[in-house]
Amino acid sequence: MARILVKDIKKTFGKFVALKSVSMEVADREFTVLLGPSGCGKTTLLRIIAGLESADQGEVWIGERRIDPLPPRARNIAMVFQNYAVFPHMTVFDNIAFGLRMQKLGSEEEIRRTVEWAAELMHIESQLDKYTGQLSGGQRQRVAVARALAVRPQVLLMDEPLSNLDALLRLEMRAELKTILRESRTTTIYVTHDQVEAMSLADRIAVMHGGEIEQYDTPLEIYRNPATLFCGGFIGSPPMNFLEARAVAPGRWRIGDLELDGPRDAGSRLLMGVRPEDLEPVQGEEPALVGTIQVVEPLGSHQLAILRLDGGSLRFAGDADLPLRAGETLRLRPRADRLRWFDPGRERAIRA
Amino acid sequence: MKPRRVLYLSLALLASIWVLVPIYLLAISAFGGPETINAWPKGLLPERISAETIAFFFAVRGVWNAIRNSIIVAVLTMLMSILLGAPAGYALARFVFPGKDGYRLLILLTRAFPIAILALPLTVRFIQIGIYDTPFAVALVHTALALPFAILVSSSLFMGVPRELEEAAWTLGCTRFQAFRKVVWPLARPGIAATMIFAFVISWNEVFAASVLTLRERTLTAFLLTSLNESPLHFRFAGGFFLILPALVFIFAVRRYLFSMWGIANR
Amino acid sequence: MLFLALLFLWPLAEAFIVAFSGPAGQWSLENFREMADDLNFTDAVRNTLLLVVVVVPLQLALALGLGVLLGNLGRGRDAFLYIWTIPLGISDLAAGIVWLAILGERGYINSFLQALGVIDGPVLWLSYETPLALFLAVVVAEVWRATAIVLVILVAGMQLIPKEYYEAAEVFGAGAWQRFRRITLPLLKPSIQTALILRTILAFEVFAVVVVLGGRDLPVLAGEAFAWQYDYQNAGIASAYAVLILTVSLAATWLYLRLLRVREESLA
Repeated sequence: MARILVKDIKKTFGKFVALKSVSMEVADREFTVLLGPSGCGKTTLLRIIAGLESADQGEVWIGERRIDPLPPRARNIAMVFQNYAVFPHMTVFDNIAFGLRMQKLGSEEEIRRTVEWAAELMHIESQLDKYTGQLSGGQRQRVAVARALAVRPQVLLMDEPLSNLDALLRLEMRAELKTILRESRTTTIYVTHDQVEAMSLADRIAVMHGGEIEQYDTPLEIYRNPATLFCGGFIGSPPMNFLEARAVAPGRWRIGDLELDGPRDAGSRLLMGVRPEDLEPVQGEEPALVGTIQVVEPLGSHQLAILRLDGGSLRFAGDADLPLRAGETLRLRPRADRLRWFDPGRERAIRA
Repeated sequence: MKPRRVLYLSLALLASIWVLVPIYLLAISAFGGPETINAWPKGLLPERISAETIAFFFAVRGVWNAIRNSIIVAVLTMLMSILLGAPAGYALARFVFPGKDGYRLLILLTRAFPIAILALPLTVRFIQIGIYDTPFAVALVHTALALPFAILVSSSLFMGVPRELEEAAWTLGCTRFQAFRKVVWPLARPGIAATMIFAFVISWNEVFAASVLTLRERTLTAFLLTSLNESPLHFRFAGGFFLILPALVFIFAVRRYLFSMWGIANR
Repeated sequence: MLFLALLFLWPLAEAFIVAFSGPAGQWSLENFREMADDLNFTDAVRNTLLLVVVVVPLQLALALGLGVLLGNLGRGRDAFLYIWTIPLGISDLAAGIVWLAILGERGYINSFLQALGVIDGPVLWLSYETPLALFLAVVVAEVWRATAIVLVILVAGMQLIPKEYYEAAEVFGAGAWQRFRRITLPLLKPSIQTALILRTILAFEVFAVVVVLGGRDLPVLAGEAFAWQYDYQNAGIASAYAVLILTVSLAATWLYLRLLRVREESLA
């Protein structure tokens, strides 16, 4: 059993509070992504689980073992670093074999077989004799992953492994990683700031912000039902729109000329969240959000338009064939089932 | 070639001649035999090559002893400065401890201390403890001289090894010491070797302290200095040449590392 | 880890204790007075100061020139750099001997000048009858020997200046001299400061070169210290000289730190 349990982890660096009080439980064999902007604490959390930092308070469990007092080498983990950290003075073979040899995981013969297996998995079996200094960034990254997989850890930790690759390579590697890791079925924690990466790889995403986990759920659930303003705005590209709404009657809210049904007993001001692709153009004179188009971006598969409304702007993602032109007026209506309501003070979502 | 480049090359050549010619001239003097020394006027090309001066030099009583002492002192200095300097450099590179910046400043300041300030009072002390006039005593002073350099350079060497490499080793099963031995040390080794050689050269060349602290067991530099007035010219020349030779050879061997240590990259 | 901290604190502490116990043993001003009364004292002070004032700026200018030249050399840069830093491996004693061979009575300079017909017979450059010539000889030898030290520090500093700054300046119309004045020099300030401090401190200790070329004909502070200790066996006065060297060095360092104060922000 290799589930991971994190209980009330707190960490400060001097005056800076990196982790406020973080708890989460990763299921066995699950691929969890820690997603968030720089400084949100995701790398700190990962390093605490790895044993490279120690928390000020809290516990970390892997399986039935409490590991936070243990050094990294005793935790049965493996880690892939952002800058790969492959040893330049060793060949690819020796790099991959390093963990196996250090932990004495088999005879030389067995080690050789494991190394070859890992190398084949990462498609670098032809590079085994080369020194890592002769390899490209992408190849070095494969070595780093192979090295981690070779020791067959209970838990695999990855710290933004794709962020130093160029865009095309990143896409390739993403797909490859997903396949390989799915097959190996190791419990994995993956840190990234790229929400597209998170969405495509994760079984569940933990969205982190300011040292806390704001939401920990499947990608689609976070996308459809973001728990906080931050989650709504961070996930999804372009980001969710947030518009101010005022209560005109219990359960009835007004934005501009538009009136919508919404939560009752929720005060007098709320923020309504709607994704750009969940807006529909409105014909005729029905009540709608009315704005002037500022910019149109034709992206091939769809169009993006930024509209100026009274007191704000709106992003709209529409069909590629719609006749949108800058300077024209556009009337839009949100899909009723895709509205989300947020409390502006606490920045949390409200169930309608 | 563009005229600009010709200009630059000429200037550079000029500077190089300025550096090399004096050494060349000394070499001729050393290898020219006593007649050349006293010849007048002197030509720029060697008239004879004779080993007479050299042989004479080595035959003088005390020369071999002096050379031997110089070697002993330099080797001791080399070992001590690395044994003390490398761990200090590692700590400076990896650990954060209160007063770290102050410590670094302190190290820099010790380089600012004139050797005389160290050597003279030590003479008295050494006489008291009874190690005056021993190679060990000189090595101690030379180590104090070379240590700041060793610490600072080794610390920047260790900083050049990314921390992530050590961390990766830790996650793969290494203790701190194993990680150092298998990952950090192999990468820093060439630089450390260069530092050791530089420490050797510093000790080999040092004059003031070596002269003040020794009487019978002189190093080569002390020997040459104190016998300056009584020695014939060719003796001095031969001595000077042999003082230069090992240093030149060593510096040539490690020049690439020295440059990268001082922060000069190969463009 | 604490063990390591202690381990390297020791040698430093030792150096300090030794340094201060030395002069402390001579805490009476008697030694200083005797030192000051000595015949050679004023000469030693004057000569040392003069040497520093002449040699250091000369070397700085030379090293700057060489550094810039190095930057403009494409191929061959490494070879030239190696040659120019050879003097680093040469002890000051050996350097003195080298120039003795050149400037001595039957030396190469004289031979050269004779061949040119400028002089009739050997000229004594190094006797105490010609103090100016002796002084200049020491200057030449010191410049030859120690410019490399300054050069290395400056070249390392120049490396840190991104090429893009020069390229931008060139695009905006700056010529070579202007680029040097407005980009190289200001950005090199910390290196220049380091180099000056180091070289000046070493210059105040100038010793072996002087002894080789002129014996005690050209008194300098370190030379006097040595003589008092070794020849006259008077540790007190020798230490007094040592303290004087230290004081002057510290004063110079303080002066440099003030005059060349570098603002952190301007370097970011």
